[in-house]
Amino acid sequence: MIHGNRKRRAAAGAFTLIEVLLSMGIGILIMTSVLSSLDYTQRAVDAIHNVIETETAGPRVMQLIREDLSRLAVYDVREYRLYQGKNLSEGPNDADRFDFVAYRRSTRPFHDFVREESVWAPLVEVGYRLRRNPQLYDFLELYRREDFLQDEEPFKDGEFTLLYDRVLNFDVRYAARPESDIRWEDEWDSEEREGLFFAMEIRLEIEVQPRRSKESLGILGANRARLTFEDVYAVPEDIRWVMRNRIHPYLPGADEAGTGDGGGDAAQEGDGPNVIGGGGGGGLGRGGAGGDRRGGRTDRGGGDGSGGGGGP
Amino acid sequence: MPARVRSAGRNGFSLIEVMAAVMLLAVSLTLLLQLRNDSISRAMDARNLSIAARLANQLLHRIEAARVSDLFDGYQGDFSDYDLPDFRYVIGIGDGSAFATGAGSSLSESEFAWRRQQQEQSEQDKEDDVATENTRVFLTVAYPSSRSANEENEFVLESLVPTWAVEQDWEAWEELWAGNLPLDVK
Repeated sequence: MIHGNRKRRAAAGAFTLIEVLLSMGIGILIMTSVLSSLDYTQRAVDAIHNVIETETAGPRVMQLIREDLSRLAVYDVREYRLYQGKNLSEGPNDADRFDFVAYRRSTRPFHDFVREESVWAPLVEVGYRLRRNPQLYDFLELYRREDFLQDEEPFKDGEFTLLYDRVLNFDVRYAARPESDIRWEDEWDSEEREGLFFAMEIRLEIEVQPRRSKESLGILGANRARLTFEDVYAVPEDIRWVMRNRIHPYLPGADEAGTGDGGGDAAQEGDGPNVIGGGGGGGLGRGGAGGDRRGGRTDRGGGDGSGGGGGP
Repeated sequence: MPARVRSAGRNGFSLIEVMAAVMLLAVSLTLLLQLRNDSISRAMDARNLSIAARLANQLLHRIEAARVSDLFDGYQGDFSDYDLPDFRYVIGIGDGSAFATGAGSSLSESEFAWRRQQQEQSEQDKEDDVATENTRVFLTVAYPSSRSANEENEFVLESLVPTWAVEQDWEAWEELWAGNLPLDVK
């Protein structure tokens, strides 16, 4: 009898109901575990993407601005034309812009066809501008402007690089001096003010694009789509002093080349005004750098060294 | 011998084999899930550390611009203004600050001795009315740990800041840098 049953089952090639149910149960268990694990892994990947988006996009832009500002080209500035910040808006959004000259290596080289080599500029015009995002009309695009070396128009032209395309507001304010009840101004023109601001406050508001779902945002607490980054950049006072007093760098060995001493001695005495650079005798005025940096009055009447021809 | 023949003839698994397979699967899945949780908690710690470093730098920039009022050794607060109330800070002022390494770690013996000496020197300077150009500032930002709700990690930032900015001494600034004042708006 048993022998007959086995023969029938073998001929049918089938499983019993309990075997099928058991294998289905195991299959479902495995599939559920694997799928839920995959889903969680995907959420974790998305969450990490969101973290990267929230903690790198804004801070990276702020850091770039700060690095540019820390290299303000304060030496040999003609007519104090170094920095220009304007208070602008694009519809309801703040879209301030600023431009300046910085001692930064250019990001793109210039090809010198004579020497057949690529040349990077040690000095560039830099600017930060915004415009309406043509695809996402609620947002602004933030661009960094860079122009090779410095020309007659230091606040115009150049090449633009997109930094971020979902900016909501970009607000910049300036303070002329430190005080307890600090007075912020919306614009700054170093030519008009004949000097640099004491500090600038930058406020950048962006909206990050969550890759996927609210659930993924909840995993790491990175659940904020709109983020505001604020920073204050205080220009070091010695940098402001160089700019305000129009200091020209002194090159070792410049005397041997027959360059003028300018008003350097007068400045070094410290009592009188800081006559910087002399009256255009030589190119490399050396005054001022050894002068009294504690607030000697500036006399620009003596001419600046940059006008003397051949200045660095 | 007959049993083996029967088993081979049925061509299936025994219960013990299935249970062993399921057990292996369960163990490996548990390990994978633990790995996932571990990577998420590490990502969370990395994110929090990154935020803490950014907030500490922002605070330092505010101190450099003399934008933090009534600063003293042990000044405390949190970053609820930036929607991050779980992130707290303590500011230590001066070489001999008791808040030089945050609350979570203790000073080594030699460092303690050095800081003690610096503290005495600083007190002596104050008595002698000697002003130092720069003041050492320690910023400790405590941020939540992923390991437990009660545990905190710390990020410590140390920097030299102009003394007039730390003390908000406008007269000292005038004395040093009044010549830097730009022209008024025309």
